[in-house]
Amino acid sequence: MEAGLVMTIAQRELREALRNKWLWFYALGFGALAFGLAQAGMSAAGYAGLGGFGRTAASLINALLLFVPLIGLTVGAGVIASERERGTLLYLLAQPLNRAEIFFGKAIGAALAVIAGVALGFGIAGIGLATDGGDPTVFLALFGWAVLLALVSLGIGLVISALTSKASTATGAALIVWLVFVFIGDLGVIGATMTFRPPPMGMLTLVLINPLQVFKLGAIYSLRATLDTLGAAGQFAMHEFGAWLPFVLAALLLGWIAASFGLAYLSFAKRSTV
Amino acid sequence: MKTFLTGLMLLLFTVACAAQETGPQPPTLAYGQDICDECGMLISDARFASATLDLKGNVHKFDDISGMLMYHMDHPESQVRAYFVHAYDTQTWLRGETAFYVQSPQIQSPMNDGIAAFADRATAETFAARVQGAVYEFDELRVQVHLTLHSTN
Amino acid sequence: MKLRDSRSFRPLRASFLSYKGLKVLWVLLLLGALLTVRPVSAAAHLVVSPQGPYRTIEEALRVAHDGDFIEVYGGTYHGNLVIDKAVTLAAAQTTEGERPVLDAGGVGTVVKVNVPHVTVRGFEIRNSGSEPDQDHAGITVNAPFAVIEQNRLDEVLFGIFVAQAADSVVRDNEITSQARFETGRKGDAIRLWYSPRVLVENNHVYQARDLVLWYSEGVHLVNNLIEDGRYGVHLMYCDNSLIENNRLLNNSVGIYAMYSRQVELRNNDLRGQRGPSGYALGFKDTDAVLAQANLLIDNRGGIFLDGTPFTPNSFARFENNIIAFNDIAVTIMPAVKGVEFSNNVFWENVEQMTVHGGGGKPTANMWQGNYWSDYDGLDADGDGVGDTPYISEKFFENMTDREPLLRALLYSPSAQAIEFAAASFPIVKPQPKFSDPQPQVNLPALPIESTRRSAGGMILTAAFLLALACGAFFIAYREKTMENKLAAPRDAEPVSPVQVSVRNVTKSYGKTAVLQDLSFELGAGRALALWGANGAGKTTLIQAMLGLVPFEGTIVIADQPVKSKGKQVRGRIGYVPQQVMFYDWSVQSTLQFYARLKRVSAARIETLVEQMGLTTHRAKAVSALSGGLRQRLALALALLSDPPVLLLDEPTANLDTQARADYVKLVGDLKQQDKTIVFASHRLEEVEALADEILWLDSNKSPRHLNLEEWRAQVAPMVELTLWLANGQRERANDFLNAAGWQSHLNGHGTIVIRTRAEQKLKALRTLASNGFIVDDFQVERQSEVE
Repeated sequence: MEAGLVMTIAQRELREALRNKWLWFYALGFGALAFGLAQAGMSAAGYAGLGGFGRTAASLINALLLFVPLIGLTVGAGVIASERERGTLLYLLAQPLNRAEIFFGKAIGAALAVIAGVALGFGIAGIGLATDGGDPTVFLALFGWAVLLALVSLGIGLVISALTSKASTATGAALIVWLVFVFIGDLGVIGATMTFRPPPMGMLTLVLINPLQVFKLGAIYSLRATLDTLGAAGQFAMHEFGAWLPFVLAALLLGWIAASFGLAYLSFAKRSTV
Repeated sequence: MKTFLTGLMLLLFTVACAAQETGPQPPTLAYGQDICDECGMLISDARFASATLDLKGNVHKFDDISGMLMYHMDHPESQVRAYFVHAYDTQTWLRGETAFYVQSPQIQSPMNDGIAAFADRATAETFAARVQGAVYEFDELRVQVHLTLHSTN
Repeated sequence: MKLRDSRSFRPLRASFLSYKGLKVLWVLLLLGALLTVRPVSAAAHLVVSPQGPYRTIEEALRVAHDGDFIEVYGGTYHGNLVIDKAVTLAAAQTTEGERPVLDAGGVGTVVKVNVPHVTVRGFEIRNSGSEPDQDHAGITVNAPFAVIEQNRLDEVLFGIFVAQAADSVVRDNEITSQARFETGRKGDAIRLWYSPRVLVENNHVYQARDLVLWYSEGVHLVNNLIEDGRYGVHLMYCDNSLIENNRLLNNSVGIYAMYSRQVELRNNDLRGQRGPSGYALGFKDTDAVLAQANLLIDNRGGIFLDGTPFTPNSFARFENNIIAFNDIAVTIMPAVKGVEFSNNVFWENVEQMTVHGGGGKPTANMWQGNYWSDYDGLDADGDGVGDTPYISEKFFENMTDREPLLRALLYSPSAQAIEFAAASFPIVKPQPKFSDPQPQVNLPALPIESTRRSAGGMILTAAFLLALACGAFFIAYREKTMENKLAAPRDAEPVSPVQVSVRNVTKSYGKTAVLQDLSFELGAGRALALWGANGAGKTTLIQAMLGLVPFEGTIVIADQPVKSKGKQVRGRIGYVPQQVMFYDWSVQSTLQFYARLKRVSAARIETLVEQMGLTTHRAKAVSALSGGLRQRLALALALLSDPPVLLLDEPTANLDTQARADYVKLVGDLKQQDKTIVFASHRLEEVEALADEILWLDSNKSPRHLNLEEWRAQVAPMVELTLWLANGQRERANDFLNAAGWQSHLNGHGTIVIRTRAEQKLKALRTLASNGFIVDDFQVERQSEVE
């Protein structure tokens, strides 16, 4: 792989992704929602100064959980499938590049676009929180978790994209995956919990299967340096990992990123047709 | 997801089977984490920590032996399958039904009921002599706790 | 119902006002103590210091009498000190402020007070033993009326153990336990044991186990700071307790009262109690509880109630407290009833109230006039009271109440979705847990000053993030991006006589073989036409040569095997597809992009733009170009790296006649420049104009490699030769030809038309010439085409 070629592809992909209106729609949607929540949360300014983790902060995490995966999945789903559908992919493949250069160039470009989208959303939210005197370090930590989650969802979007030939199919599949991660998976966890009443370790494992929940744990840990608010599973996590917990969670998300990008690359590289 | 659930079920199944083969097993206590079912306090002293396993498979954990006995006096819906107490000297699990108990005001237990458990009568009697306490077997202890601590009003 | 205490309860005091009387009593007692300890005339003043007169405290004690004052100067005094005379033992006030140290060297208790009316003041007390059974402590007080003040206790298992020492005072001490032990193994900072009417005031306790009071009535706990312990304050059988103005930070549990009566809590500030049962205030089987104006902030639980109030006629009252940012503001056991919550602020707690394990009758408790941050009603009449009751009904909360494990899913969209679904479909509408009929809508002012960060840092952070987002645009549209390293010039490479070598290539899609055992070679500067019907495999062969599809056999292009050196091969091929799909850019941007991919300098773009006649179109969007110009742009792109081999896949298929002619001319020029060209076409004139060799692909037959003549013969066996001859010769010539066996006839336009095999047409002309006929002009027309 030649870095220069990868970056050339990445720049092109970034340009393309930045023209994706959904990216901005979701980023602005999240930003506006977070801005509004921040404003509502500080309606009693003195109380907000008590500095706690309340419903407002919880809603912020909720908004992130809804919007960030959408950004990653929709951008990711478009990356390969839409070029394949338009026919531009064939011409790109015929250039003096190998598939790894094309794939990782595209992945990097899309990742930059996704990070830009998340940064925009957080920037807007940050303005809303500024009057509240929020903690910048915590806010940046939250941004970091959101970037990891966005990259996980981008990776999953890329897998979908590599396996489909039409942009619309890819986008549809991405939305279904989103639904699974955001809602259906959790319903499964609820069902399993009610049926099996797993021990805290089992419960934690059930929860950690879903990268969105991993993000949530990381975000809550950043906000309050403990997970005990999440009941037995959270306490178990704290007890088991202690101060290593954020690293464990980050490693899980990085694992998801590596696995999804790797799988997407293999699907793209091993495909016998264009 | 599906495979994980299958795996989990298998795991639970094997655990359940293993438990069946070797009889009731004492639970693992997380000291400083687990909460006494009777008084709601943290369980942090292994010398007095005790537990029961009831017929429905529920585990109850206690910070004090008297707490365990009184909890089950107040909760007849939970029929005990096995009592577990810690040996005061070695801090290993014992079956509560066959242990020997010393009660003395000189023993400082979390709820100050002063009951310690031992694996055999000889050790219990030696200890009782030291702290000027009385030695009881399990059923005698239950009567004693009922009369002195668990009085009704 | 049960009563845990084997002692007999004293009758309850009638009123909390009796505390005033209690305070007066204290003052009197203290005065009395001072009078007895320091009778101005009789008391001796003994001085202990390393220089004498007394070198050890024990020496001084031996000669001291009750009421004497022993002043101790700096230095370390070893051993276990037992005070058996009613003396005041005080550190000397020196300018250095250095405390004398009492050090037990890790054995036993440091100081034991065995007689009443002893004062211990101003020492550093360290290194007790650490046997939990033996109650090794910094100071053990075993007699009433002791005053323990201004000491610092460090590396002691227990701090101050007040056992059967009524009316003592523990004041202004700093206490911490042995750092090497985890919390549960540490000792209690302060432990009271059957010691009524003790005052615990202004102490700072940190990293010890509990501050625990056993069987001690009328204890007053005021102005203490208690941090990082297990139970901040633990009452066991302690009636008439007053706990006020204390701060409890980051303990496992805050204040936990068990089996006590008349517990009053006022103005305490409890934050960060986050242990497994991290309640700020907990009550078990306790009666007559009054909690007023406490701050319960950021704890796991605000208030926990089990069996409280204990007796039916008793009460538990919570008034004017601020309960904010806790996970659960109030947790009650199902059987709890008769608790009153009025005028409290419930602010931003994740859950306002839960019944442990679900069920119960929370409505048996009174909720009146509280402020609820999640109240969504209005106050139309402006009387400060909401017009509709505050009703707590949350479906997911009910689920977590029943199955606490599900708390792991808190703050998830799924939890919200469940809540939303429950609200939308009344069938599953949750039972309201409780309601506050007259919720306050005006938030009371905070009794303390809240710490607020300045907005600056956050605004900077927001600006940084927005700049990050803009940065992406900068990267995306920066024209002068890192110019890729230019490819090494290939001039030095020897030009191999064979530029394209295809050997035994087979390609199947499923069971359909598209290419079957295909082999050919093509020399430098030669042009090969791929001839055949649609689906015969022309495009597949081109894609195989580009290394875009897997195949069996070998293809070597410009000395590079396609399979292992795909990228290098593509670098030596200029490829023009039937219709290039360009990105939505300008001609210039498109050229720059591919120039970078092919690592070609900008100068090369200039040459090609001119050569391809694109100069006037550079700024245009690619989508605005005509078909002919687009194909010329494609050819320019293909030529960027000056490749030795060109692969053209029906490049003229979508062009009009004129554009097609122009294009063929361009390619013809390239052939002159020694390019090796492989092109697919099904236009005869293109093949005739460009091809040196023809590869005829047919899905039913094996491929045929032909020269132009052979191809002509097969593809167009008959021609019509039209001849122009002078009027006089025309008929004779026609007769001559017919006689010589040619198929010839005169047509109406003054010409002779000969129908013959293509390879014979020149022979016809020669025959005529050698027999004296002068052919002015001729024209050849084809009779058939394969299409």
